[in-house]
Amino acid sequence: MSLLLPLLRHAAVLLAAAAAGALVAAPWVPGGGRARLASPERAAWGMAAGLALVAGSFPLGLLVGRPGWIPFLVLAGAAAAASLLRPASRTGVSDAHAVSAPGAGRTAVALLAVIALGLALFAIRALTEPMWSNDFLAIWGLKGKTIYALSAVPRRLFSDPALGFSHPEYPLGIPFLYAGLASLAGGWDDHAAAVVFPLIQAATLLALAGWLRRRGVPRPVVLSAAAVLALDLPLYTASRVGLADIPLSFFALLLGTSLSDAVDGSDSGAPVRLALASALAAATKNEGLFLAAAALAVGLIASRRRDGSPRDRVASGRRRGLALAVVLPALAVFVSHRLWRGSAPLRDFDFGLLAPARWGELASRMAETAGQEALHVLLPSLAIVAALAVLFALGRRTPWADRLLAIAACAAAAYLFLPSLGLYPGHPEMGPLFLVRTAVGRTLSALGPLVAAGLAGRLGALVSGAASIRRTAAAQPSVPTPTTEARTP
Amino acid sequence: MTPRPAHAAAAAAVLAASLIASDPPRDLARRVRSLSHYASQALAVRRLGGSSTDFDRRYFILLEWARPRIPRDAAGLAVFPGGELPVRGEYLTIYEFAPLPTLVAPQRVPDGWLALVYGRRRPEGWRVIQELPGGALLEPTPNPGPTP
Repeated sequence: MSLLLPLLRHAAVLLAAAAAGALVAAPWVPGGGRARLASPERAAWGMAAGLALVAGSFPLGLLVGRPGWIPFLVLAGAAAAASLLRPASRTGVSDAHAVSAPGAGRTAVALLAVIALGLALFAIRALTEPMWSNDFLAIWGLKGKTIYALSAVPRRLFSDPALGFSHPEYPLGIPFLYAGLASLAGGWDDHAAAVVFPLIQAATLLALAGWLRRRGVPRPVVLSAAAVLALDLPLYTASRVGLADIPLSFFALLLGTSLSDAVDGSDSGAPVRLALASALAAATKNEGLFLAAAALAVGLIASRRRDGSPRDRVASGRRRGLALAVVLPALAVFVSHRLWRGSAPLRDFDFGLLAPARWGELASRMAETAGQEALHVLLPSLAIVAALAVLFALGRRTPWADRLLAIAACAAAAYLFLPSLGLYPGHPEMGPLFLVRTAVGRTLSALGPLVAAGLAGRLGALVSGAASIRRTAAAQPSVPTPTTEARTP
Repeated sequence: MTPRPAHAAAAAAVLAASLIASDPPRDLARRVRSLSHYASQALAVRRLGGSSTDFDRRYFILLEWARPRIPRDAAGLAVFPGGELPVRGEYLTIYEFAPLPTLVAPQRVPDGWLALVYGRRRPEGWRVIQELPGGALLEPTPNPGPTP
């Protein structure tokens, strides 16, 4: 069969799932009430919730007998009903900085054209051929195809030493997404299924733009950030198609934005969004679990600093809610995976190096790793790093945006350190060098959306001339009162 | 525009240019041509023309011929590429036959498994189930010989 029909079928399934997700998300995503389902942020959260429904419907189908549309509709209906029972989340919203400068319209058109170019470029790269990357064939695609074809999660995925290369310790969110998509689209098609990646890119741009606009960032800055992110070719490139990094980059952005909203108590739906983002990140990659932990630390520190008084009941209640929203979903994902697959240690690392007796060895490995990273990661991307540093320095301190950068910094530090613990028995490039060459650049690139949002927030304060743009009024997280936000001129 | 926003705009332009330069879209024309050429073909043909099989497309043709001819009750498949197979070739082989348990060039073939041999070699103790383009699908005789 040719590509076109399966491609349309897969795209239709994903868009239908996103529409169902938007319905589920409507009460807890700000955007002007339930009637307005199509705001950028709602579309983005709709896609996130839709991906969760597609992936979640497959294990549900395994439990009730047969994966497919029935478990999907049951899950979507239950989620929508539960969601609609709660009051809608309300905030004062966006477009606070209408651009009236001469030429602003032309600038906006030009930036939108660049965004469209980035989307088209990645769509062509993603859809040129069936998914082919090593990690798709060896890990994500292999597990998804096996699970789909057997309508079961066979033990040998976790216990067969011959399948050790497929990383039994990785979470099953992406394999379940592939299996769920195949069951809804009518068959396993590893070419048509690649359409999920351009759609995730589009959803990431919508999430970025919608959140920044709601936070009052001027439109030219928002569009510029989206344009640069659309051209983030180290992330949106052909070799990342089929892997977990692009979905994780989307969920990391959602995690960061919802965490920042929850810290500020921007709206009553923020903790729900945070919980969904935490679950999605943890179910996608092990790095997602780390990102959730980093978000928790950043959120607790930020809410402490802002309120100043640890005894303050509202602040402590918000901190507790924030902690539960991050920890419980991530823990539920972690425990369910643990029950399903049993104990599976991280395969590529020797954590024994962290023992004090081996600190000398660790120090020499860290030095070796730093040298290799300078050579293989920093040097080739020196201009990118320099431009990011300049943009950071030019921006203004903006707590709600800086939180995203803090999460990204935690993750980057961990990604840069982890190769020091690298272990790859039998491989000719055993040790740190292998991980530096194959993993560090790729994992760092998944932080792109978080960094773009954080920097745009800081630069928005610079451009609007108000460091305090859009600090959303501190509404109670559990009380859906409309916020009264001062609009900066 | 005051200097700082202008500097920020310049830095953003440098960032965008650097991101594009990190993976320049020189492949675009080739991709469009490839897409328009292969879009109407079957999925296996599209993979055959793609990156995952460029190490040896004849080898992939053998895998595709063998796949529908493996009995449904087969316990597993041992594939013998006949020479050095790159790591991605191993991954592709195991992915192609999933969910059937598949090993590439194992030291020992588990009991009850079939073998797929790439090339002309037909080892003793193994019976040919079917000759295929580029190789053959084998099953063990009651007293199979050494690993194919």
